[in-house]
Amino acid sequence: MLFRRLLCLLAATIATTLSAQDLPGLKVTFTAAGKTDVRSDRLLALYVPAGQAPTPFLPAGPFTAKWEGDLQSPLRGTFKLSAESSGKFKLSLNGQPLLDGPGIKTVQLNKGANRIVAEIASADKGDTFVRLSWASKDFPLEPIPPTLLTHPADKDLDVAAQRRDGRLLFAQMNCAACHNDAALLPTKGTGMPEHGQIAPLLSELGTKFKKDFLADWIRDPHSIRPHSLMPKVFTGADANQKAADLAAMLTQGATPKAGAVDLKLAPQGGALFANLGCVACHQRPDAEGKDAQDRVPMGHIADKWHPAALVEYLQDPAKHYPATRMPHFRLEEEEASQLAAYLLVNSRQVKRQALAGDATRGQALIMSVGCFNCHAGMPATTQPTLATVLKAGDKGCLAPDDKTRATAPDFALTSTQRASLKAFLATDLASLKQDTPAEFAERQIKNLNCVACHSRDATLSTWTKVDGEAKKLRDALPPKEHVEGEPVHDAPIPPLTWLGEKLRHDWMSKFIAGQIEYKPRPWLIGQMPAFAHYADGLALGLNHQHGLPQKEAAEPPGDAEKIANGEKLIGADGGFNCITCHAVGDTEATAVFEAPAINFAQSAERLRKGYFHRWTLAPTRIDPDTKMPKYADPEGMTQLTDPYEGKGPAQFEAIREYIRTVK
Amino acid sequence: MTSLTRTSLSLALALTAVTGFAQDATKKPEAKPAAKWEAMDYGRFLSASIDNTQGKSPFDQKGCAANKAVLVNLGNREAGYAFDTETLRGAGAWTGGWMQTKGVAFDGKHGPNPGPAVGAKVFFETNPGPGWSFNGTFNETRALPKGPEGVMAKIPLGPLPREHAKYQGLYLHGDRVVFAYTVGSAEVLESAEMENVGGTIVLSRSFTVVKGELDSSVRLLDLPYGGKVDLADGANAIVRVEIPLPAAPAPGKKADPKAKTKVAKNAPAIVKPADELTTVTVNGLPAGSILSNKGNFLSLKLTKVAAGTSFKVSFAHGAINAGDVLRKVPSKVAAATDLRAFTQGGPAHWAQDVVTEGVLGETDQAKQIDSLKSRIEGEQDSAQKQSLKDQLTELLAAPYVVDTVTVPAENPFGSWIRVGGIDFFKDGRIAFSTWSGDVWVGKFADDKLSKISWHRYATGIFHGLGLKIVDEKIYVLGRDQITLLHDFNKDGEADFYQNFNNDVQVTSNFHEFTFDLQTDSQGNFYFLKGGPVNPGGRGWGPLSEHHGCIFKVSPDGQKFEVYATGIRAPNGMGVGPNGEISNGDNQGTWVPVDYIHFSKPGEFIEVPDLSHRTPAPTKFNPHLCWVPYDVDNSNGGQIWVPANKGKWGPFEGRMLYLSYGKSSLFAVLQERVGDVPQGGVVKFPLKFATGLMRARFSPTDGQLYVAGLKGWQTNGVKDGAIQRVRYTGKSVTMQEALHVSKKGITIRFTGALDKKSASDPQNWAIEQYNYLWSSAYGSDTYKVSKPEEKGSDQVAIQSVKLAADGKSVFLEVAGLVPVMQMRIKMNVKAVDGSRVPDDIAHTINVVPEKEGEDYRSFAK
Repeated sequence: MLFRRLLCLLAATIATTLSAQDLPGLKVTFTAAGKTDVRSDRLLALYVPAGQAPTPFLPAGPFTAKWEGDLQSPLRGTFKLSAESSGKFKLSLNGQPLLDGPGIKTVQLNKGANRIVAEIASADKGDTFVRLSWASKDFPLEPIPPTLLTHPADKDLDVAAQRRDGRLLFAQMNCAACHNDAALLPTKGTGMPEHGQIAPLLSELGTKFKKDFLADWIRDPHSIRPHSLMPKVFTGADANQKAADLAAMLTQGATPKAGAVDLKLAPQGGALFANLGCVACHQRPDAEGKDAQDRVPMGHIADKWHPAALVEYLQDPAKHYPATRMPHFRLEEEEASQLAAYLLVNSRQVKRQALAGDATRGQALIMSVGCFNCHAGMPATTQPTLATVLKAGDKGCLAPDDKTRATAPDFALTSTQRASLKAFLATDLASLKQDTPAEFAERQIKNLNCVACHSRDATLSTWTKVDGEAKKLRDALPPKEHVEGEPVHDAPIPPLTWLGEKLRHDWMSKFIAGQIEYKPRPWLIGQMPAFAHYADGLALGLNHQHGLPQKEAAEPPGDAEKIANGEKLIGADGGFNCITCHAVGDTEATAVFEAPAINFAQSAERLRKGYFHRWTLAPTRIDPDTKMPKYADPEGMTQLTDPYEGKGPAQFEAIREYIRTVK
Repeated sequence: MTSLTRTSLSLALALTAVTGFAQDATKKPEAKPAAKWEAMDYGRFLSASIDNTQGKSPFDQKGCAANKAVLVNLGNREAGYAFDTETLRGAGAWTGGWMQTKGVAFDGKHGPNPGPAVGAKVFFETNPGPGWSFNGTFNETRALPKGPEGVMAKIPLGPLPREHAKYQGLYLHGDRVVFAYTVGSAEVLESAEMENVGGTIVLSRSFTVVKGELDSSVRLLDLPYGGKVDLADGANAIVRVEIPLPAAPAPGKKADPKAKTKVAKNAPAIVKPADELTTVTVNGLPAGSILSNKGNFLSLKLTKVAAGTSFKVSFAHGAINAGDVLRKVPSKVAAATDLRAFTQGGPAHWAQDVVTEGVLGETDQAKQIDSLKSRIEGEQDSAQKQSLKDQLTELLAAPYVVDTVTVPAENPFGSWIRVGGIDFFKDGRIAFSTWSGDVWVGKFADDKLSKISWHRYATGIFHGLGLKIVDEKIYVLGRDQITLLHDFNKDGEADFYQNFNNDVQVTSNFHEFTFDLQTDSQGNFYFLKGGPVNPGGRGWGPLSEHHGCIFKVSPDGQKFEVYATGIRAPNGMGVGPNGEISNGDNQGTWVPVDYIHFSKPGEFIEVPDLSHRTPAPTKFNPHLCWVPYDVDNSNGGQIWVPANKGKWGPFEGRMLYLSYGKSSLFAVLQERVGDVPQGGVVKFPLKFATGLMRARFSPTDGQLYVAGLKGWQTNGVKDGAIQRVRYTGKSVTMQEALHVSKKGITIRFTGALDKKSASDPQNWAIEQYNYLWSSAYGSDTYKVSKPEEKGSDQVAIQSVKLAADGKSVFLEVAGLVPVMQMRIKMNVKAVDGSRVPDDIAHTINVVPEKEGEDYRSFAK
């Protein structure tokens, strides 16, 4: 039984440190070759490899970047600000110059907003980077947390953001599939990664989907999934018939995938739906009405899928759609069957239009409507050229209403989306020919809905917010006593906030791609699913966001004395007794209790050096709820006077050296 | 319970080999020095729960197990005898080593308990239940625990009713461990021995009737897996012992390591009968007494045996084909001796004192001062230079320093010094108990700690996690009982381990620690017991009626009562000058974060599962305060600063709180609004070497001594330590009191604040949040403004006023409401420029309509 007690309070006078106009992050103004671009960044950090553009809207070559905003200090006090950078970096605080080049300075910060202005001119040679950190008497150097950086609302930022949104829409909706222009647009496989991504392949549709659903879907996709990128292509009185014809053609001669799903497994599937985090991206199939979390609806699943095909799809969602947002969970067939049973049993059955379709007419339609432009990447034929579109204004796809749109496809664009697209079309479109990893990562965090499962900065994960739903689904199964070592549903999912600083690119990339065989945190009930299509770029972009290069400097083999000290330091005798919770390779942790920890063999390949040190010096600065003890005081001294005279960083480095040797 | 028979132990061996639990599971080929728990000389006995399972309840099993066993070391750790002090039962005896030191206080494993070593040869064992008959039967005379089905341990727990039998304690004399107890109205002494009779080992139980008439049967031997008891005559028996063999795994399948508990619990599939033999002989059979095999177990019926009588029951054991030898040997053992000879104290066991040298805080300070001075010299940045200078000023003006009372960590007995309790004798000598079961007494040569002479005073306590000295006698809390230690012959070692009170119930769960030992002004004792947390930390094992309670024991030890219920893993309590009973607790199931609570008799405190009420409570009385996870993640005890002419500075009459997890000391700010307490904690800017659990003020130097250990998660690095927090006499400026009113919050300091920094609103910030009280493990923080949303709220401070004496600050805050956690952060200095602790973590239970008395007295 869960008994809840939250104090009911009448009214509290609450003031936040942020004023209503403050937005998270800093405003960054980039200039290159006389052009300017602005955006807001979460951190005062940047990494631009030599020869690359600082933003997609600026050319490669020398550039400057200027950060403006406020550092919100909880209290007046003495702090240190420290910059690492290449290029020419300057920082002023509250109107006073503070740093000219990399370095560290002690400053007084006021309670509340402290004005920060920083500038960098790109390095003459090599990569350009900057990372701004701070420290106080209470904590060692750390990047200034994104939650404490703000900037006022800004018109320039709004305009630039609109341009970026338009660029993404242009790419994601695959506008160029119909409106191509070889001179203006990048060739296939170059430029912005989302540009030219192929929509789901139309093969085997009939084995997967039910014909009546398909007809309804073609007729009006947005009535089934509001945010679908698929346009409504038929209008007029015969639209329903055309949709039915097309559906008939697409399913012609196909036999539904054979096999049944044991619907009795639905409760187990429901628990999986909760425990794998499906519930964070998708509404429950039995959910009614508008979803406060704007999750993808699932009520139509039973109408849509032939059961056995659904099981197969859940095991490999990218089979016919490499760029799908739906991740690969590496499900066992049994799990996929359970999930399918849950979805099928609980879907809302809707009476579908059951017009008889004519496959022959459908055959003609599929060519004339241009389905293959998106679904097979075939060259555009009948549609207006990009040049025409650029001059078209509010006509065609961009029309504000059905009448003006006439026979053009209906993408169900909102007025904001139309404005963004138009703003983007007003640019020279050159930004499609290039991209930056940092911006790619930022876009994909939204696109892939990483925050569904992971919290980031001040944003809580959707999974946390829908915990009540998840609990109900879990509770449908008979209660089970927790057995030591088994996963628990309330263990926290790692937040994304410091990911780019924390993980090595090679490991992170493999991990996101689903290529790491082990589960680093076996105590989590969920499991990180694979987003193979996006993994490498996402990982790189996250590193760049934190001002870090793809690769860390190569390290020589460890020093034997350090390694020996490190081994002692993780032990019970004269060490920090890390081995209580951490396994070391094949050696199990000695006494895990309440706080299972990651095997040290995995730490070395996962963690970047800087983050390892920041974590070991002050773990609660990164995760206030961590069970990992903080051994060092703010000066970095530990209570273990031997070795290294109690100097924490040297002791932790010895541990790192030892960990590097653990297989 | 899993039997102690040879093959069931070899079953355990087979399983450990599969699961990696075996002692030789170290990966590296080179020999490592013996682990601390293996190297330690535990003395002549060790008190522990014993079983052979992996930690789940052994209650549904047969065999030798005891919740409160004393494992006696026979020979030179060659054999063992387990005596159950609750049931006065000889639980079993074996050769093949004294015991294996498995379990949380030894190898740290969560589940197993100590027991006979792998490969031990069991001479006899008895099933759980009374060791002596009452009214002619061995039927259970204890009541079953009351409570919901499926939750409560459905077996009798605790000691037998006093009219049945009562454990009085044990005498230690040389190698002899002599148990003293009553059976009915008779007083009995009992002692086990190992003898080598012409190459054959005989294990025996000797008895002496001290007082009264012994008229009862003693249970001698059970056959948990079958066999047959044949009586030769009234004084001799031959027992055929059936030996179970482990079930073989199905062909081609490896034993499933996860199934280890299951396999161990299940009765062996193959029973190979009659392959071993135990012969039993009663030497000096009292007149009218006779062996009995009624019920297919062996007992000795004693009829009106008079005081002064001694007799001995001897057991030989071996293969069935050695029957001829085995039958003859027991009669050849030495005659029963009068055990009263061993009750006046014997020669010292631990003759060697261990001398250590303490370390004064100034020694460490001097290093820091030197380092700071050289850094100041080399610093170019003027702001940083100033910051370092401020640190130096503070260091030089530090009102408290931490001295180290170096514990005898290196000692000839390999005793693992992890301190679980401390107290002082009137002359300033200090005594401490250890988790591994020792009690040591230390004598200081001087105040400067230049020489501390330590002597090992007692051993074998069942987790010595609390110690109190009353009338110059040491009371030490074990999981099984409060033991009152007597040194009859004044050789500095305990000769009699008196059972002061053993009414507390124990199951074999690894985590149901008993903590702390305190007395009130009437001399009543108090201690705490946690819930039986499952391995892994979530949920509970089978419950007893005493899990999660505060207990009160009368000054004479005769009356035991549950004082309050519903605490989870409360590592420390306090008793105030006016009898205030406080406890801390540890975040976990039903405990959102640590808290400090003042309880009243009969009160339910926090954890419904451990409330021992039906239906379970749905609310609890307000705690003094919640302690946020980042401030204290694992609690220690509380102590009140005694009035002592300011010897320990300005905190007299105030409470202090210890953190085990953060190795920290806190001042507790308290106020009462009507009957409701509220307040918070402020950390002393001091560093300690180990997780702090216990504290006492020395009666001679008036300083605070804190102690603790590193046994589970803590940032402490020393296995065990005692440190002295010494007041240097320099001025102290710290928060000492807090008062909440509708208009705002007043904070009282022990010294005057620097006006500029203290009256600047920029130097103050308030944050607040609530927790969720639920069966989940701990809680997130929730906004006060939006109770369903995770996070916290900032609270606006409208103005800051410093009182004329500079010692009080009033933070004007509109609309204060009750909140589980408020954090007041500040960046203010004392008049002498030193930094003032910058974080108050407190709780508001009530916002009084009127300003309280306290406020008016200190706001001026």
